[in-house]
Amino acid sequence: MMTQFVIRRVLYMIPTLIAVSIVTFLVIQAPPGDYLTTVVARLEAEGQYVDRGQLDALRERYGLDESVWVQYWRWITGIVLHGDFGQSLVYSAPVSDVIQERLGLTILLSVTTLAFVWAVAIPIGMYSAVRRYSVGDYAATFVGFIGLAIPNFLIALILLYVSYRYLGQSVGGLFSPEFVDARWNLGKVLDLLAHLWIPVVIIGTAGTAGMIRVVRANLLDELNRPYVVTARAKGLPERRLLIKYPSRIAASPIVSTVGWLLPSLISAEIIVSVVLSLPTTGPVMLRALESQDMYLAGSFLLVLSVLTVVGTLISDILLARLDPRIRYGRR
Amino acid sequence: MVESPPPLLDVRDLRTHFATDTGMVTAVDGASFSVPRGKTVCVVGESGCGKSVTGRSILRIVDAPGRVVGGSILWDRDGTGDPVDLATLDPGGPDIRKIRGDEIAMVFQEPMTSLSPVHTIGSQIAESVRLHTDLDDDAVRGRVIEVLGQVGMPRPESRYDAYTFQLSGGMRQRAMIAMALVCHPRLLIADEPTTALDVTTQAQILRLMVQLQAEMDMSVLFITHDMGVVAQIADEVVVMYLGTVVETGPTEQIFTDPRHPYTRALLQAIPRFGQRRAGRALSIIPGSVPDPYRRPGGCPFHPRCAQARPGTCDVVEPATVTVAERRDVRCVLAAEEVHS
Ligand SMILES: Nc1ncnc2c1ncn2[C@@H]1O[C@H](COP(=O)(O)OP(=O)(O)OP(=O)(O)O)[C@@H](O)[C@H]1O
Ligand code: SF4
Ligand SMILES: [Mg+2]
Repeated sequence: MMTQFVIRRVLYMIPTLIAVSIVTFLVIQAPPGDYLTTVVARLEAEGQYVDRGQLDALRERYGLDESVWVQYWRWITGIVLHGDFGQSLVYSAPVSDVIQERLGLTILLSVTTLAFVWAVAIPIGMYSAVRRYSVGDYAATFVGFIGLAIPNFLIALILLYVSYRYLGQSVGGLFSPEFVDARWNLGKVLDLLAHLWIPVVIIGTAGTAGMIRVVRANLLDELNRPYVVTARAKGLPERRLLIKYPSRIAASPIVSTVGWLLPSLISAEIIVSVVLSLPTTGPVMLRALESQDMYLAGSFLLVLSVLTVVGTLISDILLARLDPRIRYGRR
Repeated sequence: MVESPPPLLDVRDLRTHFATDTGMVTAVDGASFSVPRGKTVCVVGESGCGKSVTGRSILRIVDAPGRVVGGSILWDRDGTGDPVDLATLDPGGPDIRKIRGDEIAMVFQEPMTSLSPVHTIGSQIAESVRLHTDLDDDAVRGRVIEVLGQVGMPRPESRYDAYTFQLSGGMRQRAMIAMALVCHPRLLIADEPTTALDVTTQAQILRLMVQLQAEMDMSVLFITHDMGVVAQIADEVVVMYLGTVVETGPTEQIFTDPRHPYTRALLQAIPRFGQRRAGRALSIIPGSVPDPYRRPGGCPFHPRCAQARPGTCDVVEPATVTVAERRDVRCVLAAEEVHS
């Protein structure tokens, strides 16, 4: 049953991915004039010489003289078959080179943030629900609202100050200066972890505050359900009962947020990364959009959309594991 | 006359209150009754009179903010005359947990919502066995399949792995009953177990319960508002009104010689022609159940009682008088008859 469900779900993903790629392609095509016009205009503006032969090669490469569908086909097969995302204007380098490491760091940052949000919000939310109207519940509510109310940049400034003043750590970035261009080794990983917590806390605070409310509300909904009373009437101890029955059912709506949490984390990441000058995708994405570097911008869009679709797939599979009604197509 | 053995369960002056934001709800307010060994006792009364809260108070599973605030719940499992007072136990503690599901089990009204939708019925029933016995996995599974067969579940081996949404209402309620009976409890509390079912299934479930009660030699506290069901299965009846027990007695005497004006009104409200769904008609009694926040003073029934005596009934709470063996009535009229 589970295998069938997963296969079905993966098959459903294919049309979604195709749609996503078409939309991305349309975005790339959106600016007036074709890609080469932009290249030429840009080069000429910088007073550079434009090589006809090179232009013709590019025209051929992207099929710019052909119909839009042929262009789409060349673009997408280039990506799928050769990992060729096109050429970045701003960086004068293949897009794949520009985004590779940054994308890795973005994903690391987002996943860590998600883990942070859950690790903090779920226990606090559960406590708040079980001990409703206790001092602890009020404290969690209060701190949560503050977390929601303070803008990210303010938290960023405060944390930067704290880490600079009291921890003596270099401010901003994900690496200390001596590690920025270093190859990956244990020292660099540790250095990354020492820097990572700041953006994680900044990006995750609002999400954590919101998640505490969600967990509390969901669990409260379930706590007095008849099936909980039934389990209690069997003689099950309260703690085991809480984990086994209401939490499992209250978890479904939370798991289903994984899919859309990823894009919202990434958009929060853009602003914070610019402020903290993090070597993630955010600042590059912003720059690409500003300068109409459409292959670069489009590639980001495509990759992030695909990640979202994959995130949704993962959350759906988790949901089906949690709730048999989904496996059996009853809901 | 043979000295009757001490009752299995003896509830004395039970009080369960809910301190809500809008005021104190005195859901059970001095209820007394007892359950003899191997008998079926039916608790009847209009909606909201405290039947369910009474049942849950016994197992100490009243929803917050409800609390047992007074009285005693004497549980004498072995008839030693040395009962445990369940009312004094910590509702979250190990003592009451050992009794729940093992010595006293409960069946609820809505089998769909009372069973977890995301666990198989087999695992939910097995959990009870694991909690109260040291059986290994195979033995637990065997026990569960055996009890599923006992409650008339067809193909119990394959139904072990079924989820509630794959079963009909009647089968769900059988699973619920199996869960309650799997540890062979001495007392089964059934809170309107047939109300949510269609008439045919109701009859099947009732027959099943009567049969299992005899087979397993347990006592049943059956909560219902259907006098037809009472007539069919009860050995004794407990009539509740506004959180108090107004009359108790053997079923036949309650039906032929009701002493309390409320019991009489209940019986008159049963439609003739043997129509079974009598419970629905209880509201024929003049007036309506008072606001649970403001219980009337004196006899709780006096605003609706045709025989109420101004100056007495609205001022003094009537005493409970024993008019015959196992026959108590809480009304001034009965008290006068006994004294004269
Ligand atoms: N969780 C709760 N919070 C506040 N009041 C409650 C709660 N549960 C029950 N009550 C109150 O306790 C009183 C008795 O309720 P109970 O459920 O025992 O009635 P009942 O006799 O079982 O009625 P029914 O036939 O409708 O099941 C009612 O007035 C009800 O409003
Ligand atoms: S005590 Fe008075 S009011 Fe209450 S039932 Fe008896 S006669 Fe009616
Ligand atoms: Mg009830």
